[in-house]
Amino acid sequence: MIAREVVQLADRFQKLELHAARGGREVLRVLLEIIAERPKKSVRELADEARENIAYLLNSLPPYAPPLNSINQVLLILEEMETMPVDQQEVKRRLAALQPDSQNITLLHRKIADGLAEILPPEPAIYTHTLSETVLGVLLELHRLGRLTRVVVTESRPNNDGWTTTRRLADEGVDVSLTIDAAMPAAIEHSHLMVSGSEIIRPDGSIVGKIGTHLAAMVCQRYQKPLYVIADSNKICPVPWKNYFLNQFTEADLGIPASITPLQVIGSYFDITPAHYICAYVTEKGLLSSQEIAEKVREMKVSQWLIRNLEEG
Amino acid sequence: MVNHPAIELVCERISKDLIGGAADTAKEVMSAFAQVVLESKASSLEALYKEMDAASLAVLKVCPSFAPPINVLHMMMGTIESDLESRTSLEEAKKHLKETEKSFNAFMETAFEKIATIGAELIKEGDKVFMFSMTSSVWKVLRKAKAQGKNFTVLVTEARPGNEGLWTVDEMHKSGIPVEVSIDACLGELIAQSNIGFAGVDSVAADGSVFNKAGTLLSALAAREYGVPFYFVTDTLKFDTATLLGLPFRSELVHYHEIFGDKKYDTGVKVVGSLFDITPPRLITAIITELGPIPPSACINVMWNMKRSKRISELLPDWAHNKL
Repeated sequence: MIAREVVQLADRFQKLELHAARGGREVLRVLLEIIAERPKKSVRELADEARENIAYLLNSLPPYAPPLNSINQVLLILEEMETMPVDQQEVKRRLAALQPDSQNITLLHRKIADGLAEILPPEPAIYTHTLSETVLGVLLELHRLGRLTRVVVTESRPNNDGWTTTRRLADEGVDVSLTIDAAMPAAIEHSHLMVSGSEIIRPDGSIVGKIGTHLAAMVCQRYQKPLYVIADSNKICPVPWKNYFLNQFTEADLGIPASITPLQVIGSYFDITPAHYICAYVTEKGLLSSQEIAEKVREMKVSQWLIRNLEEG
Repeated sequence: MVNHPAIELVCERISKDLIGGAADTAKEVMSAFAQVVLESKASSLEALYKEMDAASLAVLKVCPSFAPPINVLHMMMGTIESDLESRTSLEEAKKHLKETEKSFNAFMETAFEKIATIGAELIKEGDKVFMFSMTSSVWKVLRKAKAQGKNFTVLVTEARPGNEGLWTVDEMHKSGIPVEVSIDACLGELIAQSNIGFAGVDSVAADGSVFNKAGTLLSALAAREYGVPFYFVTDTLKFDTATLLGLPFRSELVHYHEIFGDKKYDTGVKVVGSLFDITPPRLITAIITELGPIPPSACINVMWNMKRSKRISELLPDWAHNKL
């Protein structure tokens, strides 16, 4: 049976109301809640019901690593516990230990900002596209450290997430400017470097990001400006998920009443930036190369049920 | 000196942005100059030159960064300067100016057809054709290819902030050409699946670089990345001879209201960027003109053969720096 909370969460994912990091926290919270509400079932029944709910959720999940990682963690525990003579209380105790500590987010941003500050030029002018909770938090930390001179942001159509980044930075007194997506080349040419968030860091170091990220990366390469991916390590995803293009544009995304119906609108919310465009990944665990990302992925376990489910689509 | 009413009128229409585009502006400027010559009461060639000089100054003061109307000034002023040098009679000079007008009109009638024919040859059956923003010269190429019986699909992006790409959607729909549209940030995805890319031109520089709507450079960069040939389509009237003098293109900035509309933020949210960008020659496959496809490096040869006026060349540095 699909829990009401899961249906609601799937709906929010479908509408892209949750960003990646928060999505990860919400998935974990909801899964732990529904498991906690099933006191009379066996471990096997508990696991089956969790998998049924997870399968429903996967159908609407945008390409975000944190929710996938949360799901993977829950499944790994369930798979392990199913093979052991333990009761459901033990399962719940193990799962409860996964609860994320939201107090650590500021500390996380601080750690990443400290790492980034070490490689920044004096008086850095930084370009970024769209909105990322981590990038925003890190830029604000750099500002607090007195290590940020200027930021240029592109608006990031269709939902103009770049406006939020600009407004939030301006509110904190950062010298920040906004420009149109089409003016990326000029914005990048006049910056020292680009920082980008990511929805997923894939095993080969490529990243899934908001549409336009790949284009900006190409421009960075053309103008010889380094691109740093700013992400906490929870964005590294060992799950071999391929369905990155679930979220296709519709007429509504153009934001203008179309004079022609049906209007053939194409494109999707996310794109993939290959690893060769990326200078380094700045995480709370330090500065990583794409090879180090690959090594980290090899150390991570993936639920076999999750792999099978995703392969079957 | 009081200018002819036709000059006053065209200046007003340019200032109020009432004329469609660069080519139409050039036509109206030529027509106004033809009236100045036809109805002039000047009793000497020098007096006619002074009337035309005043008219040129008035047009330049309001002229935006369009090469075609400036090339019209070069043509007319260049013609009368040659006659002044060779001490031609007033009547003979008026005849020469009339011939210049006629040859300009003949050019305007035939150039686009030639360009459409040359450009259409590049489109193949089943192609996906990327086009950035809107421009009537590319539309003509696409319509010509359609008239030749080719089936192809046009891919276009919005072209913020003016969304001129949606005009292309309308035009293609009217012409029965399948069209698909997306946002500008998605143009890499569109170009990657295209066989060929086209963009229009606001001005071509002596070094073959192209000044056009912001996003053109991004399109050309993406096309180079994906190995897609990227062509610019224009008549040679858009070749900006001011760049032979080393003068820069005159650009305009993106304004706050073009992004945010009436939305106001208390803190210092600034809007930056230019409405135009410059695509360097290395990203251009060729420039499709009435003379044929021209490699960017050959643009300077075309400019050397264009009529140029000493007087207009003297005024252009101040025009380029908004000092007229």
